[in-house]
Amino acid sequence: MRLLPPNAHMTGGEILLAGEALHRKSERAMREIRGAKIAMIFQDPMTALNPVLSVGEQIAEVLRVHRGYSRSDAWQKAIEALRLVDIPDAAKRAHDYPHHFSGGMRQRVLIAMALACEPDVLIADEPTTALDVTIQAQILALMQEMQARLGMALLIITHDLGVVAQICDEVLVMYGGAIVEYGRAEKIFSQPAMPYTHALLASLPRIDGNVHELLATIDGQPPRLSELPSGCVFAPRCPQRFARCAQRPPLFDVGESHLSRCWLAAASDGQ
Amino acid sequence: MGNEMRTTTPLLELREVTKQFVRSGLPVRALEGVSFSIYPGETLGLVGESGSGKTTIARTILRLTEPSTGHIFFAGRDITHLSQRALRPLRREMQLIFQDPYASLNPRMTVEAILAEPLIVHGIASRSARRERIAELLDLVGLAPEHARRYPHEFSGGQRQRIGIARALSVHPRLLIADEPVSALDVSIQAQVLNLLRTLQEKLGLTLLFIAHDLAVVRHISTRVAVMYLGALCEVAARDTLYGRPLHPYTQALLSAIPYPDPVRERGRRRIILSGDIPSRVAPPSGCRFHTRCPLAFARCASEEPALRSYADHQVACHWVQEHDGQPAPLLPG
Repeated sequence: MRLLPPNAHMTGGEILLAGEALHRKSERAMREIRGAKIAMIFQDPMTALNPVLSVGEQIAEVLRVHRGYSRSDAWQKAIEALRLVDIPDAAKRAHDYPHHFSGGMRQRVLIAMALACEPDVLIADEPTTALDVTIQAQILALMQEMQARLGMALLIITHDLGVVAQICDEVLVMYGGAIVEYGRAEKIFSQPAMPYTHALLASLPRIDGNVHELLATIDGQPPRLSELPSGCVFAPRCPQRFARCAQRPPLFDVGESHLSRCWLAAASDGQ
Repeated sequence: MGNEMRTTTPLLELREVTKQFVRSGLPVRALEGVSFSIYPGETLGLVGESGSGKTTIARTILRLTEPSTGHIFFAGRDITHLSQRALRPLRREMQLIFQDPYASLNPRMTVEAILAEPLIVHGIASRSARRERIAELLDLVGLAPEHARRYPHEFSGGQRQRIGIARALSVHPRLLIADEPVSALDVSIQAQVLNLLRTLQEKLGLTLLFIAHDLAVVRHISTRVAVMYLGALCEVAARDTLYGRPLHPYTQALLSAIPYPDPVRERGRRRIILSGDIPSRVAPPSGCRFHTRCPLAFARCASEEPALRSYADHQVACHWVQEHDGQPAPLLPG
């Protein structure tokens, strides 16, 4: 999104959207992409919405800026967008302010706003973390339905492995600022290659797990990004570490487009 | 479990506890006729979504909030109207672990001072015995003796929660109330703290009221589970009964809403998705509080509040279940 704070900048690499290099775009060009081609929804819908504008005005604004709609057309489209995300009484609720809505309804408003311009990519950063579990189920179902209807790509950022299992096709596991594993969701959950992923899955209390045993744990703490170990970032907590882990491993291919940043995977790497 | 424990006196009993607040001039009904018991040595898991009244229950038990009506018994004694002075020795027997390990420790006190405070307040140990007890407590929760000199900011969230647990245990409480003790922690740290609580509970024979919104977490630690919705209890049963054969439609919906961390299982899964929002506590629905979202609701549900009734090893507050002689609500796919 190119929304990093001023004290952070990209020091290398590329970000491509449909082949176009986003990292080379001017701020003005980015403004046309944000909201139109890539949209984002956040963990806390209250702070992501403007408290002094009605939700209808906020959605209409996106449509006027990106689609050049007139005021009245944009308002009509905003109501449609609210209807699409199942907000009851959309024409009336469009006049309401964010604080009139519950957490789940606010997240629906945010989704309506993000989807108003039918973006190619929707980034959802912990979209259900602040919600209760029955409301989470509603929002996840809504996101899946919208994705099927609009055919957009969805990048969902979450710490909840249950949410990942429910809606993702592919999974990137991050640890200490790096991608440590990548693959199809079924593979990641059934045959995790990286010891971190393995340990994380084992430490989850499960609704059908064995309650007579203690949970598996990962020793120690996640590293601070300012004091990353020089070798493998997970090595200090890894039960399987060995001499080679003092060097930073690359991502190894363990087959079927499944990648693992672990020296244990070096042997199975095809290259 | 259950039956052999029922012959003893509950360590804690709530009878028809109701709590009404006034917020901006409007009455808020936070608790509605809540009755349950906790027996010595058991862990009761109290589950519910936000606004269900879980934290109000914890505060009411500790008399940090006064109940509007109803009674609270501790070890057979009615403590509902005890004076603050008479309560003080009881506070030692009931200790609380908080959700936020960042906010519940004084940043200007060393761990040693934090752990010594309850010992001083309750006049428990001499200066030299205190030092020994602190070392013992740190060891009990898996911290090192040298941690005693450090300040809360030098610790991670998981370690801070260990300090909070050590502080609660310092006065040898009989009842430990843990209010969302792991929900602020990273997944990899949650398991450490849950294991610690379970090990301590077994080792010290503690009685635990474990309050959480996460049903998988509650299942892992509880012997019995109570489900709340909007200030009232829906269902109470032994752990395996509640998770294996939930009767109340809300319990079923709650269980069905949890995503399993397994994509293969998730793909074929049919979910009960409740429509609508959790209603406001200022104007809770008439009759059964769940009827506005319940797929089984019928006329009686809107007019008459269901009582918590016993069916074999279950207690359930649901008209549908009552009219079907304790059959489970037919929401869960078979």
